[in-house]
Amino acid sequence: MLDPGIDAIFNPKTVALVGASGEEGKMGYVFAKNLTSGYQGKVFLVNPKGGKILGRDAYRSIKDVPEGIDLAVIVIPAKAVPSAMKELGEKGTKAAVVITSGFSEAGPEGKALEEAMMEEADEGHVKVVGPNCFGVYNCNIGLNASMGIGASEPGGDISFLTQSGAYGMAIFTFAMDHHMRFAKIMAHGNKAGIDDYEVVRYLGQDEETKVICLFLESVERGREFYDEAKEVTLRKPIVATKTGRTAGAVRAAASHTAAIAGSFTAYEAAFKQSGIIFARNGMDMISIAKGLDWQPLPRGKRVGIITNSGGTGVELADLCEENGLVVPELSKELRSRIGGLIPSYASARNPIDMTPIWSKFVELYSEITRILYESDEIDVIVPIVLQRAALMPDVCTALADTVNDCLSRGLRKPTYVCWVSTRDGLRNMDLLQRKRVPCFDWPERTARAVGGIASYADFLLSRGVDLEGR
Amino acid sequence: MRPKAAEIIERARSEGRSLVLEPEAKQILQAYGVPVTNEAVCGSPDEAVMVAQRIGYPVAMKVVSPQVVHKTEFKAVCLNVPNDKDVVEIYRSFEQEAMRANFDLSGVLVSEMVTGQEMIIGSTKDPQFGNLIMLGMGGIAVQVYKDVSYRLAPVTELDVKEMLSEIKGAKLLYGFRGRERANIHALVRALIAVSNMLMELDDIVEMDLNPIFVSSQGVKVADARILLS
Repeated sequence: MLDPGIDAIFNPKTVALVGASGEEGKMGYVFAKNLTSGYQGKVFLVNPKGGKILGRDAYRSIKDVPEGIDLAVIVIPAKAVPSAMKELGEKGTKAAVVITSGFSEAGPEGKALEEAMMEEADEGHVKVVGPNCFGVYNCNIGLNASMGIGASEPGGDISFLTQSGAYGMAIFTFAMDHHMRFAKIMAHGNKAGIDDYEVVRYLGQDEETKVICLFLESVERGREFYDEAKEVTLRKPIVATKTGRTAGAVRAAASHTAAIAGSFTAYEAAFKQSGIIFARNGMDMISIAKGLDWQPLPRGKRVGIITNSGGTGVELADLCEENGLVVPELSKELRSRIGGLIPSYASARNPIDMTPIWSKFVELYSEITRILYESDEIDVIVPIVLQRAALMPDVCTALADTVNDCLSRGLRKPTYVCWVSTRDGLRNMDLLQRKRVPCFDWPERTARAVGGIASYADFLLSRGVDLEGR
Repeated sequence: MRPKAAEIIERARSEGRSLVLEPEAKQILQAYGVPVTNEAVCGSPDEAVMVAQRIGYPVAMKVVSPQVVHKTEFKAVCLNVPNDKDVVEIYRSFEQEAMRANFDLSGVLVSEMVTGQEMIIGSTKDPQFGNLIMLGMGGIAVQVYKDVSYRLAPVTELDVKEMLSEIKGAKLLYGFRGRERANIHALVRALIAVSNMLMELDDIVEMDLNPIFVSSQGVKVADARILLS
């Protein structure tokens, strides 16, 4: 069963904004604006002065709100939060997102305030997100209870939990630029009333979520997190970035094991063992999530590289192998099939280097891709769309159509494009990405993303998970 | 908790020690089914000779002392001791080393010499994730090469196989260049046994089993150190 507290955060029927303001530039204004644009549920604005805010009646107190509150969004000063929480509890409010800063992150006085707030929340059975957080989104119902810019279009199925608000949102908006669509987003800040594992469990059960992204500075209740993640990854992928260090004590290490094991070692072990894909940074996290969301999982680690630049192909081949992938030489039969299409001086060995034969790019990118789809020698196709190829919209459109045609024929194999272009070519990247063919910038990012995805597929296969339909 | 392990931990606690001595650590391991070297702690040169004869030459001799954590830092280990005369001499030299370096000599451990690939199994406790277990290439070079892999306990057979795939030197176990193939199953069983032990003995905060010898015959822990909370 979905946790009712967390469900009230993501799927509220009624939202109260405590600290709404009609004054532009104030936090209470940003939230009032965001909550009243796109969200279909009822929104109640609370401000002690009453009157009208954005043309709506404002309520002088929480008590005055005429209906039950599923979700309260709190933007009032920290000192006033515990008593507001008490009132919310008395009213039977299910959940609260506390945006306000000045709690445990700000020293002992703030810590005491946070404890007082949590006492009231526990007493009143209010599930708390934050404090000191950016807010939450449910893009599929148009809910933007955050200080960020608009939600992504409905229909998204990537969900994102982030400890860092602003960086999390930067990642999210970058991803939207790349046509990725999200389902649920939560910035949980100080994590006073919610643990990472609870959110992982919720998103694991949530039918709208297909890919889970985590941007974490620390993990509280690590053991529960590990146990939960281990269950979830068998059904859907989790991609995690971990920054910063644990609060773990620095010990005088009397043993070799402790001397070698840094604080991150336990995270790495937990991620590996539970099937979480570890991303080295926010950008890698987004690349991996995009690949997982748009393409089927690879059934193996053999990469076929299609390029018009020998140097780029070789660099990508190196990086692929360094990231746990294999770039095998193709069989004689396959080589001769491809060799019939490309110039005699070109190479069909893999990387398949068509050479800069511009006049045939449209045909060659598509045809070689199709041949690799039909071959059982390759599990992952990576066309390098480079320079002049990236400037040719027809190359991108034909490639995207070929990929989707092969997928619709039931050839379950992923294609990830390694994109190397000038700024002029960027709009052509959209031609691929609008059709859910993911593009990754340059060989290194491509190899890391593909390596991460393939290692997840390998994790599932070695645990006997059937990849049918995935 | 196995009674033998409980008894040893209780004794260390009552003596105010957080270090479990090597012979004690090996008894705990044995109680959980982890194979260790055939050995005995001796209180005199005569006893050492008797034990060495029973085990069969050559033997290894080691200082047993609550103050000696890293034995290689003192003259506290002697390998391949070939005969009665040398056993007596080395026993005396340990006594002198104890006087010189000012540690208490609780006894001298006389144990069989074993061969095989040197590996290490270790553990630490992570504040968030609990017991972290390590497998890697062992011996004194462990801190130099750091050719090791970590998992959270408890581990499964699949976890151990995946750990081995992350360790470069593990290739040596699979019959590399005509060497004999090591008994991987025995290693897997040993690691799972250690992992079960860690889950049961919450008092253990750090552990080094180094070296353990892995050969076609199986696995034997040749040195062990356990730290209690």
